[in-house]
Amino acid sequence: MDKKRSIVKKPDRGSFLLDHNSECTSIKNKYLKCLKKHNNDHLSCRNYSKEYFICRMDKNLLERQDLNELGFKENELDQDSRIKNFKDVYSYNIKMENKNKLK
Amino acid sequence: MGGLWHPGWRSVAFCGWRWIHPGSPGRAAERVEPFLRPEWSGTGGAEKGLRWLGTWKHCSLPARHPALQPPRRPKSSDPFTRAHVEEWRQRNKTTLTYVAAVAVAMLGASYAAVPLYRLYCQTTGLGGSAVAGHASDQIENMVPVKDRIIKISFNADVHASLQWNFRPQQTEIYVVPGETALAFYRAKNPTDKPVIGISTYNVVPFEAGQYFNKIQCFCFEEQRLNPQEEVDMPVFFYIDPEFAEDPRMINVDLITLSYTFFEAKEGHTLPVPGYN
Repeated sequence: MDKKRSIVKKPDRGSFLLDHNSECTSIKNKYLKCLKKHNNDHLSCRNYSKEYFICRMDKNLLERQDLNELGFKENELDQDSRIKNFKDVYSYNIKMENKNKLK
Repeated sequence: MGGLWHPGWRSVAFCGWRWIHPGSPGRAAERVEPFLRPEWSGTGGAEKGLRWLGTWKHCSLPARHPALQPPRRPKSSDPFTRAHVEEWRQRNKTTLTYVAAVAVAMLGASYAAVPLYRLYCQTTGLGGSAVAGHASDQIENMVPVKDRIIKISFNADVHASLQWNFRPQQTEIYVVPGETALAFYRAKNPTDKPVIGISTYNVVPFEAGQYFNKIQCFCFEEQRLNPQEEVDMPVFFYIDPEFAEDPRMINVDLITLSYTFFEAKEGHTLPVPGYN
Protein backbone atom coordinates (compact mmCIF):
# COMPACT_ATOMS: atom_id res chain seq x y z
CA MET A 1 0.00 0.00 0.00
CA ASP A 2 2.93 2.33 0.54
CA LYS A 3 3.75 2.29 -3.11
CA LYS A 4 5.57 5.46 -3.98
CA ARG A 5 3.29 7.26 -6.30
CA SER A 6 2.96 10.91 -6.96
CA ILE A 7 -0.16 12.41 -5.46
CA VAL A 8 -1.71 14.87 -7.85
CA LYS A 9 -4.71 16.93 -6.86
CA LYS A 10 -7.07 19.28 -8.56
CA PRO A 11 -6.69 22.90 -7.50
CA ASP A 12 -9.39 24.03 -5.10
CA ARG A 13 -10.52 26.92 -7.23
CA GLY A 14 -9.52 25.82 -10.68
CA SER A 15 -7.35 27.80 -12.99
CA PHE A 16 -6.19 31.40 -13.08
CA LEU A 17 -7.29 33.30 -16.16
CA LEU A 18 -4.34 34.21 -18.29
CA ASP A 19 -3.29 37.83 -18.12
CA HIS A 20 -2.96 38.28 -21.88
CA ASN A 21 -2.72 42.06 -21.65
CA SER A 22 -0.11 42.09 -18.88
CA GLU A 23 -2.30 44.27 -16.70
CA CYS A 24 -0.92 43.08 -13.42
CA THR A 25 2.61 42.46 -14.55
CA SER A 26 4.04 45.53 -12.84
CA ILE A 27 2.86 44.36 -9.44
CA LYS A 28 4.20 40.94 -10.15
CA ASN A 29 7.59 42.46 -10.92
CA LYS A 30 7.53 44.35 -7.61
CA TYR A 31 6.78 41.11 -5.84
CA LEU A 32 9.63 39.30 -7.51
CA LYS A 33 12.05 42.11 -6.74
CA CYS A 34 11.00 42.00 -3.10
CA LEU A 35 11.61 38.27 -3.03
CA LYS A 36 15.11 38.72 -4.36
CA LYS A 37 15.82 41.36 -1.74
CA HIS A 38 14.64 39.19 1.12
CA ASN A 39 16.33 35.96 0.10
CA ASN A 40 13.12 34.52 -1.33
CA ASP A 41 11.37 34.55 2.01
CA HIS A 42 7.69 34.67 1.19
CA LEU A 43 6.42 36.25 4.40
CA SER A 44 8.40 39.42 3.77
CA CYS A 45 6.61 40.06 0.53
CA ARG A 46 3.09 39.09 1.40
CA ASN A 47 1.78 42.60 0.90
CA TYR A 48 2.80 42.52 -2.73
CA SER A 49 1.01 39.26 -3.31
CA LYS A 50 -2.07 40.78 -1.67
CA GLU A 51 -1.79 43.71 -4.07
CA TYR A 52 -1.50 41.31 -6.96
CA PHE A 53 -4.78 39.68 -6.04
CA ILE A 54 -6.49 43.03 -5.66
CA CYS A 55 -5.24 44.02 -9.11
CA ARG A 56 -6.57 40.81 -10.60
CA MET A 57 -9.96 41.33 -9.05
CA ASP A 58 -10.08 44.91 -10.32
CA LYS A 59 -9.31 43.91 -13.88
CA ASN A 60 -11.81 41.05 -13.82
CA LEU A 61 -9.17 38.43 -14.07
CA LEU A 62 -10.35 36.90 -10.84
CA GLU A 63 -13.76 36.78 -9.23
CA ARG A 64 -14.30 39.02 -6.24
CA GLN A 65 -13.74 37.34 -2.96
CA ASP A 66 -12.73 38.18 0.54
CA LEU A 67 -8.97 38.18 0.95
CA ASN A 68 -9.39 36.37 4.24
CA GLU A 69 -10.59 33.40 2.29
CA LEU A 70 -7.27 33.40 0.51
CA GLY A 71 -5.38 33.27 3.75
CA PHE A 72 -4.46 36.94 4.01
CA LYS A 73 -5.10 38.22 7.46
CA GLU A 74 -5.65 41.79 8.50
CA ASN A 75 -2.75 43.75 9.94
CA GLU A 76 0.01 41.73 8.46
CA LEU A 77 3.18 43.72 8.69
CA ASP A 78 6.10 43.29 6.40
CA GLN A 79 8.70 41.29 8.14
CA ASP A 80 12.33 40.96 7.47
CA SER A 81 13.48 37.71 5.98
CA ARG A 82 13.31 34.84 8.44
CA ILE A 83 15.99 32.95 6.67
CA LYS A 84 18.50 35.76 6.36
CA ASN A 85 20.68 34.76 9.26
CA PHE A 86 20.65 31.08 8.55
CA LYS A 87 22.76 29.10 6.16
CA ASP A 88 19.87 26.90 5.14
CA VAL A 89 16.40 25.79 6.12
CA TYR A 90 17.68 22.85 8.09
CA SER A 91 19.68 24.99 10.47
CA TYR A 92 16.69 27.31 10.99
CA ASN A 93 14.45 24.36 11.83
CA ILE A 94 16.97 22.84 14.22
CA LYS A 95 17.38 26.17 15.99
CA MET A 96 13.63 26.54 16.41
CA GLU A 97 13.30 22.99 17.66
CA ASN A 98 15.98 23.57 20.28
CA LYS A 99 14.39 26.82 21.30
CA ASN A 100 11.09 25.07 21.87
CA LYS A 101 12.75 22.31 23.85
CA LEU A 102 14.32 24.81 26.21
CA LYS A 103 10.98 26.52 26.94
CA MET B 1 -24.48 -20.52 2.01
CA GLY B 2 -22.82 -22.81 4.45
CA GLY B 3 -19.36 -22.40 3.08
CA LEU B 4 -16.65 -24.96 3.28
CA TRP B 5 -17.63 -26.32 6.64
CA HIS B 6 -21.17 -27.23 5.77
CA PRO B 7 -21.93 -30.82 6.76
CA GLY B 8 -22.78 -31.51 3.13
CA TRP B 9 -19.09 -31.24 2.30
CA ARG B 10 -18.12 -33.74 4.91
CA SER B 11 -20.56 -36.32 3.71
CA VAL B 12 -19.37 -35.80 0.17
CA ALA B 13 -15.79 -36.18 1.28
CA PHE B 14 -16.37 -39.27 3.29
CA CYS B 15 -19.31 -40.84 1.56
CA GLY B 16 -17.23 -41.60 -1.48
CA TRP B 17 -14.66 -43.28 0.64
CA ARG B 18 -17.28 -45.44 2.23
CA TRP B 19 -18.70 -46.38 -1.09
CA ILE B 20 -15.39 -47.58 -2.46
CA HIS B 21 -15.00 -50.18 0.25
CA PRO B 22 -17.87 -52.62 0.01
CA GLY B 23 -16.56 -54.42 3.03
CA SER B 24 -17.29 -51.45 5.24
CA PRO B 25 -19.40 -52.34 8.22
CA GLY B 26 -21.40 -49.14 8.05
CA ARG B 27 -24.89 -49.21 6.63
CA ALA B 28 -24.82 -52.91 6.09
CA ALA B 29 -28.53 -53.16 6.75
CA GLU B 30 -29.29 -50.80 3.90
CA ARG B 31 -27.27 -52.87 1.54
CA VAL B 32 -28.66 -56.18 2.64
CA GLU B 33 -32.32 -55.17 2.91
CA PRO B 34 -33.33 -55.35 -0.79
CA PHE B 35 -32.01 -58.90 -0.98
CA LEU B 36 -34.18 -59.96 1.89
CA ARG B 37 -37.35 -58.76 0.18
CA PRO B 38 -39.37 -61.53 -1.43
CA GLU B 39 -39.88 -59.61 -4.75
CA TRP B 40 -36.26 -59.15 -5.35
CA SER B 41 -35.19 -60.85 -8.54
CA GLY B 42 -32.02 -58.92 -9.33
CA THR B 43 -29.26 -60.71 -11.04
CA GLY B 44 -30.10 -64.22 -9.97
CA GLY B 45 -32.01 -66.30 -7.45
CA ALA B 46 -32.10 -66.31 -3.73
CA GLU B 47 -28.93 -68.37 -3.68
CA LYS B 48 -27.12 -65.50 -5.20
CA GLY B 49 -28.47 -63.24 -2.56
CA LEU B 50 -27.33 -65.63 0.12
CA ARG B 51 -24.02 -66.00 -1.56
CA TRP B 52 -23.76 -62.26 -1.50
CA LEU B 53 -24.60 -62.33 2.14
CA GLY B 54 -21.98 -65.02 2.64
CA THR B 55 -19.31 -63.09 0.92
CA TRP B 56 -20.52 -60.08 2.81
CA LYS B 57 -19.70 -61.86 6.03
CA HIS B 58 -16.19 -62.49 4.81
CA CYS B 59 -15.77 -58.90 3.94
CA SER B 60 -16.63 -57.65 7.39
CA LEU B 61 -13.07 -58.71 8.35
CA PRO B 62 -10.82 -55.71 8.92
CA ALA B 63 -8.02 -57.10 6.73
CA ARG B 64 -9.06 -56.77 3.15
CA HIS B 65 -7.24 -59.45 1.22
CA PRO B 66 -7.80 -59.01 -2.53
CA ALA B 67 -8.81 -62.67 -2.90
CA LEU B 68 -11.53 -62.37 -0.27
CA GLN B 69 -13.14 -59.31 -1.80
CA PRO B 70 -16.48 -59.91 -3.45
CA PRO B 71 -16.48 -59.33 -7.17
CA ARG B 72 -17.65 -55.84 -7.96
CA ARG B 73 -20.90 -55.63 -9.80
CA PRO B 74 -21.46 -53.10 -12.54
CA LYS B 75 -23.17 -50.21 -10.89
CA SER B 76 -25.95 -49.64 -13.36
CA SER B 77 -27.52 -53.09 -13.18
CA ASP B 78 -27.95 -53.13 -9.43
CA PRO B 79 -31.04 -51.23 -8.09
CA PHE B 80 -29.31 -51.08 -4.77
CA THR B 81 -26.32 -49.17 -6.14
CA ARG B 82 -28.65 -47.01 -8.20
CA ALA B 83 -30.04 -45.53 -5.03
CA HIS B 84 -26.57 -44.66 -3.95
CA VAL B 85 -25.75 -43.18 -7.29
CA GLU B 86 -28.87 -41.07 -7.04
CA GLU B 87 -27.85 -39.87 -3.66
CA TRP B 88 -24.38 -39.10 -4.85
CA ARG B 89 -25.80 -37.19 -7.78
CA GLN B 90 -27.93 -35.19 -5.37
CA ARG B 91 -24.91 -34.36 -3.28
CA ASN B 92 -22.97 -33.40 -6.34
CA LYS B 93 -25.74 -31.05 -7.31
CA THR B 94 -25.68 -29.28 -3.97
CA THR B 95 -21.89 -29.04 -4.08
CA LEU B 96 -22.07 -27.62 -7.54
CA THR B 97 -24.61 -25.06 -6.40
CA TYR B 98 -22.34 -23.99 -3.57
CA VAL B 99 -19.32 -23.73 -5.82
CA ALA B 100 -21.30 -21.74 -8.36
CA ALA B 101 -22.51 -19.42 -5.60
CA VAL B 102 -18.93 -18.86 -4.43
CA ALA B 103 -17.82 -18.12 -7.98
CA VAL B 104 -20.63 -15.59 -8.47
CA ALA B 105 -19.82 -14.00 -5.13
CA MET B 106 -16.18 -13.62 -6.11
CA LEU B 107 -17.19 -12.00 -9.37
CA GLY B 108 -19.48 -9.63 -7.51
CA ALA B 109 -16.71 -8.81 -5.05
CA SER B 110 -14.32 -7.96 -7.85
CA TYR B 111 -16.84 -5.51 -9.26
CA ALA B 112 -17.51 -4.01 -5.86
CA ALA B 113 -13.79 -3.60 -5.23
CA VAL B 114 -13.48 -0.67 -7.65
CA PRO B 115 -15.72 1.85 -5.84
CA LEU B 116 -14.64 0.53 -2.46
CA TYR B 117 -10.97 1.11 -3.29
CA ARG B 118 -11.77 4.58 -4.51
CA LEU B 119 -13.47 5.33 -1.21
CA TYR B 120 -10.53 3.96 0.72
CA CYS B 121 -8.05 6.06 -1.27
CA GLN B 122 -10.08 9.20 -0.79
CA THR B 123 -10.24 8.80 2.94
CA THR B 124 -6.66 7.80 3.53
CA GLY B 125 -4.91 9.55 0.66
CA LEU B 126 -2.72 6.56 -0.02
CA GLY B 127 -2.16 5.09 -3.42
CA GLY B 128 -1.79 8.37 -5.23
CA SER B 129 -5.36 9.36 -5.76
CA ALA B 130 -7.08 12.58 -5.16
CA VAL B 131 -8.11 13.78 -1.76
CA ALA B 132 -11.22 15.90 -1.43
CA GLY B 133 -10.44 19.58 -1.69
CA HIS B 134 -10.33 21.88 1.28
CA ALA B 135 -13.11 24.27 1.99
CA SER B 136 -12.36 27.98 2.00
CA ASP B 137 -13.15 28.30 5.68
CA GLN B 138 -10.33 25.90 6.38
CA ILE B 139 -7.92 28.27 4.69
CA GLU B 140 -9.33 31.18 6.65
CA ASN B 141 -8.85 29.48 9.98
CA MET B 142 -5.50 27.94 9.21
CA VAL B 143 -2.81 28.76 11.72
CA PRO B 144 0.70 28.91 10.29
CA VAL B 145 3.30 26.78 12.00
CA LYS B 146 5.93 29.44 12.50
CA ASP B 147 8.78 27.24 13.64
CA ARG B 148 9.16 25.14 10.59
CA ILE B 149 10.35 26.66 7.35
CA ILE B 150 10.16 24.70 4.12
CA LYS B 151 11.97 25.54 0.96
CA ILE B 152 9.88 25.12 -2.16
CA SER B 153 11.89 24.93 -5.33
CA PHE B 154 10.35 25.23 -8.75
CA ASN B 155 10.92 23.28 -11.88
CA ALA B 156 9.44 23.68 -15.34
CA ASP B 157 9.38 21.20 -18.18
CA VAL B 158 7.94 21.10 -21.62
CA HIS B 159 7.07 18.10 -23.70
CA ALA B 160 9.22 17.69 -26.78
CA SER B 161 6.42 18.45 -29.23
CA LEU B 162 5.51 21.73 -27.56
CA GLN B 163 7.71 24.62 -28.56
CA TRP B 164 6.94 26.97 -25.73
CA ASN B 165 9.57 28.55 -23.52
CA PHE B 166 8.35 27.70 -20.08
CA ARG B 167 10.27 28.56 -16.92
CA PRO B 168 9.74 29.52 -13.28
CA GLN B 169 10.24 33.17 -12.32
CA GLN B 170 11.75 32.45 -8.93
CA THR B 171 14.09 29.61 -8.16
CA GLU B 172 12.76 28.94 -4.69
CA ILE B 173 10.54 30.35 -1.99
CA TYR B 174 10.54 29.85 1.76
CA VAL B 175 7.19 29.24 3.41
CA VAL B 176 5.87 27.70 6.57
CA PRO B 177 3.00 25.18 6.71
CA GLY B 178 -0.31 27.00 6.85
CA GLU B 179 0.86 30.05 4.93
CA THR B 180 -0.62 30.69 1.50
CA ALA B 181 2.01 31.63 -1.03
CA LEU B 182 2.13 32.92 -4.57
CA ALA B 183 4.64 31.87 -7.20
CA PHE B 184 5.01 32.67 -10.89
CA TYR B 185 5.92 30.81 -14.02
CA ARG B 186 6.34 32.34 -17.41
CA ALA B 187 5.47 30.88 -20.79
CA LYS B 188 6.21 32.21 -24.24
CA ASN B 189 4.93 31.02 -27.57
CA PRO B 190 7.70 31.78 -30.09
CA THR B 191 5.88 30.25 -33.04
CA ASP B 192 3.61 31.99 -35.54
CA LYS B 193 0.54 30.00 -34.72
CA PRO B 194 -1.65 30.01 -31.62
CA VAL B 195 -0.86 26.99 -29.53
CA ILE B 196 -2.96 25.40 -26.83
CA GLY B 197 -1.10 23.77 -24.00
CA ILE B 198 -2.20 21.84 -20.98
CA SER B 199 -0.12 21.11 -17.96
CA THR B 200 0.23 18.76 -15.10
CA TYR B 201 2.43 18.86 -12.05
CA ASN B 202 4.05 16.66 -9.50
CA VAL B 203 5.57 17.13 -6.11
CA VAL B 204 8.74 15.54 -4.84
CA PRO B 205 9.05 13.91 -2.26
CA PHE B 206 5.92 11.95 -3.12
CA GLU B 207 4.72 11.62 0.45
CA ALA B 208 4.73 15.39 0.82
CA GLY B 209 2.34 15.61 -2.12
CA GLN B 210 -0.66 14.98 0.05
CA TYR B 211 0.11 18.13 2.06
CA PHE B 212 0.72 20.30 -0.96
CA ASN B 213 -2.57 22.00 -1.70
CA LYS B 214 -3.10 24.32 -4.58
CA ILE B 215 -5.79 26.91 -4.27
CA GLN B 216 -5.47 28.07 -7.81
CA CYS B 217 -3.01 27.45 -10.60
CA PHE B 218 -2.91 26.91 -14.33
CA CYS B 219 -2.91 23.15 -14.53
CA PHE B 220 -5.31 20.65 -16.05
CA GLU B 221 -7.04 23.27 -18.16
CA GLU B 222 -6.21 24.31 -21.65
CA GLN B 223 -4.22 27.49 -21.90
CA ARG B 224 -4.02 29.24 -25.19
CA LEU B 225 -1.10 31.37 -26.24
CA ASN B 226 -1.25 33.57 -29.30
CA PRO B 227 1.75 33.82 -31.60
CA GLN B 228 4.72 35.53 -29.95
CA GLU B 229 2.81 35.99 -26.75
CA GLU B 230 4.44 35.82 -23.34
CA VAL B 231 2.28 35.41 -20.28
CA ASP B 232 2.60 35.06 -16.50
CA MET B 233 1.22 31.94 -14.91
CA PRO B 234 0.67 32.17 -11.19
CA VAL B 235 0.37 29.35 -8.72
CA PHE B 236 -1.31 29.97 -5.38
CA PHE B 237 -0.69 27.22 -2.87
CA TYR B 238 -0.12 26.32 0.75
CA ILE B 239 1.32 23.45 2.72
CA ASP B 240 -1.19 21.86 5.05
CA PRO B 241 -0.36 22.61 8.73
CA GLU B 242 -0.65 18.90 9.47
CA PHE B 243 2.63 18.53 7.64
CA ALA B 244 4.40 19.62 10.80
CA GLU B 245 2.79 16.82 12.77
CA ASP B 246 3.53 13.97 10.43
CA PRO B 247 6.49 11.96 11.72
CA ARG B 248 7.33 10.83 8.20
CA MET B 249 7.91 14.43 7.18
CA ILE B 250 10.32 15.21 9.95
CA ASN B 251 13.33 15.32 7.68
CA VAL B 252 11.63 17.01 4.77
CA ASP B 253 12.92 20.54 4.34
CA LEU B 254 12.77 20.82 0.60
CA ILE B 255 9.77 20.27 -1.61
CA THR B 256 10.09 20.54 -5.36
CA LEU B 257 7.14 21.52 -7.47
CA SER B 258 7.53 20.49 -11.06
CA TYR B 259 5.20 21.51 -13.88
CA THR B 260 5.15 19.98 -17.34
CA PHE B 261 3.37 21.43 -20.33
CA PHE B 262 2.00 19.33 -23.16
CA GLU B 263 0.40 20.28 -26.37
CA ALA B 264 -3.36 19.90 -26.25
CA LYS B 265 -4.77 18.24 -29.31
CA GLU B 266 -8.14 19.21 -30.72
CA GLY B 267 -10.94 17.19 -29.27
CA HIS B 268 -8.86 15.47 -26.63
CA THR B 269 -9.71 15.98 -23.00
CA LEU B 270 -7.20 15.40 -20.26
CA PRO B 271 -8.53 13.13 -17.53
CA VAL B 272 -8.54 15.37 -14.48
CA PRO B 273 -7.36 13.69 -11.28
CA GLY B 274 -9.96 12.97 -8.71
CA TYR B 275 -13.19 11.15 -8.84
CA ASN B 276 -16.33 13.15 -9.41
